[in-house]
Amino acid sequence: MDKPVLQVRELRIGLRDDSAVNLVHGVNFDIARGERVGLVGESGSGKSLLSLSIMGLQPTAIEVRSGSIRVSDHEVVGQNEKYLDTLRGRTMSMIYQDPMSSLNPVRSVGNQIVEAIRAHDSGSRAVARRVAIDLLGSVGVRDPHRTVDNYPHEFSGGMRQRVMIAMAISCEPKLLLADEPTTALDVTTQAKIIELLDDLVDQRGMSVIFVTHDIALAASFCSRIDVMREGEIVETQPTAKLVAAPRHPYTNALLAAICTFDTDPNRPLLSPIVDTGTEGGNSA
Amino acid sequence: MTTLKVGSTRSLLRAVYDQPSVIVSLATIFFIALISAFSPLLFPNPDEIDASNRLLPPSPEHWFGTDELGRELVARMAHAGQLTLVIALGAMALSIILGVLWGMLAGSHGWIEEVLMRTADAIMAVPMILFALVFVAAFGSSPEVLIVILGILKAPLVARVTRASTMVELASDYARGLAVIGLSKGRILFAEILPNVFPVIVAVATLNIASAIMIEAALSFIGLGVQPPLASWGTLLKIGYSLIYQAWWYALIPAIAITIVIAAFNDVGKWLERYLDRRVA
Amino acid sequence: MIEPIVEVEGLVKDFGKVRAVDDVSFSIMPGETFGLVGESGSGKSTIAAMLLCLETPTAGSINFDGTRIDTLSPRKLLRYRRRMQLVMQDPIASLNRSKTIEQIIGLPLSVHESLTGDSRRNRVLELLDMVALPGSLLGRYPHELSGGQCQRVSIARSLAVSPSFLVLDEAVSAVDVLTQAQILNLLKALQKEFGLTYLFVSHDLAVVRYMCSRIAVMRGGKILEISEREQVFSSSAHPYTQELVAASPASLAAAVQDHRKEKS
Repeated sequence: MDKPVLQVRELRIGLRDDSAVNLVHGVNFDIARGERVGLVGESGSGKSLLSLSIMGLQPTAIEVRSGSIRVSDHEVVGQNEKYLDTLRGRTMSMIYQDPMSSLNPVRSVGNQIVEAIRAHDSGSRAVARRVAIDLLGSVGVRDPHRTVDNYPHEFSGGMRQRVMIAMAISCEPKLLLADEPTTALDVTTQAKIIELLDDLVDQRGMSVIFVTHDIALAASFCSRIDVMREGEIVETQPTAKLVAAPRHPYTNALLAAICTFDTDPNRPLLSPIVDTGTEGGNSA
Repeated sequence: MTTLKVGSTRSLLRAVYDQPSVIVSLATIFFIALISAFSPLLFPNPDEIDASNRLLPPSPEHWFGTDELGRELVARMAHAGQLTLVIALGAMALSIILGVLWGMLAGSHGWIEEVLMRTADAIMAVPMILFALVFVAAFGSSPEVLIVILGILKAPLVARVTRASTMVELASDYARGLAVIGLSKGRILFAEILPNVFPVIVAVATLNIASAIMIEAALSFIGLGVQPPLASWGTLLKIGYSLIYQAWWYALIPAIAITIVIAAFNDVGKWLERYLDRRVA
Repeated sequence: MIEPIVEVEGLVKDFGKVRAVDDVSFSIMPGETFGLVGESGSGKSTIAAMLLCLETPTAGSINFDGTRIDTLSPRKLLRYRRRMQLVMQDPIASLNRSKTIEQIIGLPLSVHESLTGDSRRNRVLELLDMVALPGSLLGRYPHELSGGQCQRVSIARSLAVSPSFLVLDEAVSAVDVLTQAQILNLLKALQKEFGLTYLFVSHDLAVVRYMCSRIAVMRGGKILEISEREQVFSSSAHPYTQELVAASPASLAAAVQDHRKEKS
């Protein structure tokens, strides 16, 4: 049996300045090779913090208090930046909601992908550049031989997202973290990006953590869904089972609340009896 | 994304922790302001002449020594400090009143913006001493005039910062909402936007006090500022400089005082800038 | 014959050389929820802005309750402002962060009804109650509230002077699913109680289907179709509309489930 690509045990995350505030309370989960897991939750559930902590990229105000994160059997918690840098890109990589915040606006996209490649691979620039052009082609960027020298602002939102994906997969990571990668995109663009990710992930045998608030989106992409609420994973099931027969009342509430094309317009959306719990102790 | 609700006291303490010198600076300012404010009580007779004790160096009986007329320098410094601070604060207040109006108008009315901001640029381009010279020549150099000069000199900077901040606020969602409610433009600016612009101005204002002190000292030093019988630290510095070979302390003490106060206000101003920036971010 | 409450004719808006809205016409009937759907750049937000007189049309006319409003003087327009209000996408950014909830909700009351002090506070409490928020929020500031609560405050504020028409510009796009459901339920309840007319602008087709009885689909500044709900979500809809429906997460999920079943 293959060792899991990601193993998280008893992970506790909180505010550095205030030991009373805990944001993630003892989370446990595994991701196998090639598995796609959706991490679904509302804002404040801790899902983004969890994924950032796996990469070691949590904000300075946040710290991992205890627990273990093993990526491809390498421990992440408590390591220094230098060690984490060797893991990032090569073993695990991340794509974000806003590509502009992870793309350097004053350097060409080709340059940035080459830089990412050469951080882990001591080959020549020319070789790296060829790889970059191929990558751009494989993520669907048109005319990669020419556009490889374009700057981020010269691309549309959907194209920038593809560039960011290219950069993220350039070193063939085993684990890809996607934090709301399509939230800022139009519906049609979103569908195309999901399709792209679907193909890429299958081709390269990557495992994926797909962080999103949109349970329908997670259901369209992931084989398993973990539902997070207020720092805990309240339910984890294969997608089909979760959607058809959720076990936890919160999951039930989430599913009942979303609008689908079958929702009856004449009936209210939530059953008023369900205790949904809400952000910060105040009702929404 | 998770939003963290950090208590405002905590972020305040953190900001102080990041720049602990601000406590020293605030204490310094407070101390000097207190002494200056109560100078009539603490040193009731600053002009008491004592010809037999002229130009004595600092000693336990005469803390700052005495001046060319035998007057206690410590008493003169305290009273002069009051005038220095009053002029600086007055200038700061004037620069805020002028600058905020200036900047808010420029930031909200496209047609007037060019005129207002080019005027601001023009004033900022004129060398301060030259500007002061012209003004003093025309209107004399009483403390009131000095306040006006310094206020006008510093207003363009406040205007620039206010304009930028105003434009950012006007572009935000809540400003749209206000227009839909039907609020008049003036009311939007002064009742709704101004409170959000103000934090930025506080930082600039504090820095303005520091530079007002410096300019006033410079003007007084070259004789354009406060005139005898009134005394500010700048004038004391001037007299002390002329007597520097006989009485080294006479120039040194005002110089140190001016430096300390300017440094303290600068420190607090910079801290405010960073703290308020963090809160807005 | 019932007259439309909003009537838009030949509306055009240019920003420099870019034509954001290209010859758009539609009418909204009193009491209905009219959906305006499109992707970014479709012009839907610009139309909402023009309806609220935040932007002036380059050409065309906007009529509200029989009166032409795009050419009114600011003073005359003020009388109409109280009848049409706005709820925006970002709940916290749409409230003035330096004002308390009481001041925020009370502001339209002091502008249009000159209410102050206790009578104003009482009306604010009534409004908070309408949106199911506790009176204890009066003295709080927006950043102390959750996104959902802020959006309810926005709704309460928009109802303060008893408008007849509400523009909901992506009003539930930036809140969580559970909050979204509660707010949509609230909006429906308020509509029933006060006979409100809604213009519901959104990119989320499933939500639009739930809320709106008639829907206009836009692309590139033009309206591609205006139809009843059943028509828009059927196979006889405009091809672009069908594309949008197919790309929705709700459809994607269903499609992938089918695809997986086929594969295995």
